[in-house]
Amino acid sequence: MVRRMEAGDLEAERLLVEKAQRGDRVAMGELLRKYGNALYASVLLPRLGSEAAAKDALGETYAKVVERIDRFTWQNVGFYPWLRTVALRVALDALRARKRTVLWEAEDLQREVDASQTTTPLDQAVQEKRDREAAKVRVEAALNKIHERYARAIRMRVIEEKPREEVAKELGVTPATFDVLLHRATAALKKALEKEEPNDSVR
Amino acid sequence: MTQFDDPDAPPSEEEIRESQRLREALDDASKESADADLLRAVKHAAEPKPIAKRDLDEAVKSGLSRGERRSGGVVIRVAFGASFVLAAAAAIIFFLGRGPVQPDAGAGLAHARSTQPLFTERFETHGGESARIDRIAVARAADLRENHFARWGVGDKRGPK
Repeated sequence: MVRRMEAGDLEAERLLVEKAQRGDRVAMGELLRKYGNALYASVLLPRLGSEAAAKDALGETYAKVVERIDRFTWQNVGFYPWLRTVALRVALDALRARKRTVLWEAEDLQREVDASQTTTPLDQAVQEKRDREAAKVRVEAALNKIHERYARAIRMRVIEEKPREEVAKELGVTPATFDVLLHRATAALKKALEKEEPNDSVR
Repeated sequence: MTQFDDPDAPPSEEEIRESQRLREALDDASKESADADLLRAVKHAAEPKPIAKRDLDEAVKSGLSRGERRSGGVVIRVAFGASFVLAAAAAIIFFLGRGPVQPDAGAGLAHARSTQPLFTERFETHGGESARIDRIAVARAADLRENHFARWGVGDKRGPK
């Protein structure tokens, strides 16, 4: 069950934002800390695919927010939609600078940035839930593009984090053969993602 | 049939070496491997782990100090004795010189203007109206989007087109 912000929470947050806009460092720190995990785990980490990149992007998002807080206009869905848009923009820059294959293309992220501005902003809890579901759907869409046996290998070993020997047994191969299978699965996934047209992606 | 189509095809020597490298990289994150990075990206998208408190604290701390530096904000650290007096005097001079920062709501925004620059070519008097309207709509939608971003303070450096 997603808990939406109630009127009292919103009012408290609005006051906090006002304090932060007047230069109150403690209020600003509180706002940043409050939404840190949502930004990291639902926005930055899935899109950038690396903990180091997501942490860097979170720091950069915060720097931009602090720099531009005076331009923020309060809306009745709270502070999170603005933070998320800033984070998406930072992630887009980071993704454009990356050379390695990840699940998100820069074009997909650009569309999300546009949508974050042109559609009605959502409450943090609702938006976070949607972001997480969208990421899962994207993973499944990518795995559906490769051989079922490869997809099973990745699901069990990488997503479910089962031990190598256990996965090998379930797939009916030796651990050494499983290593080859996982290597091939990864190559197949990379190939599927690289040839994917932007329109094929899940949004 | 390639190994992409047949998961159980006999592996080449190179595949065996690469699969061994992938296994080692998955066990040890310090080892460079684009394949291991891709698999970790899958994991992070499917089941992202929360950020550690220490990392969040670090992001908040660095974000605050970098953001304040960029916006020209000042953090005054209170010192004791003579250095306090000097620091306070310097801060007063700085604040007097700086004056209040007023956000310029109109800076960098696209304003209502003629559509003429959108049409550099000659066109027929009759026909093609829909295409011309589409061109205007696309250009103005882009302006609107950039204006929204600019007002939110997340505007593209290029500004409205």
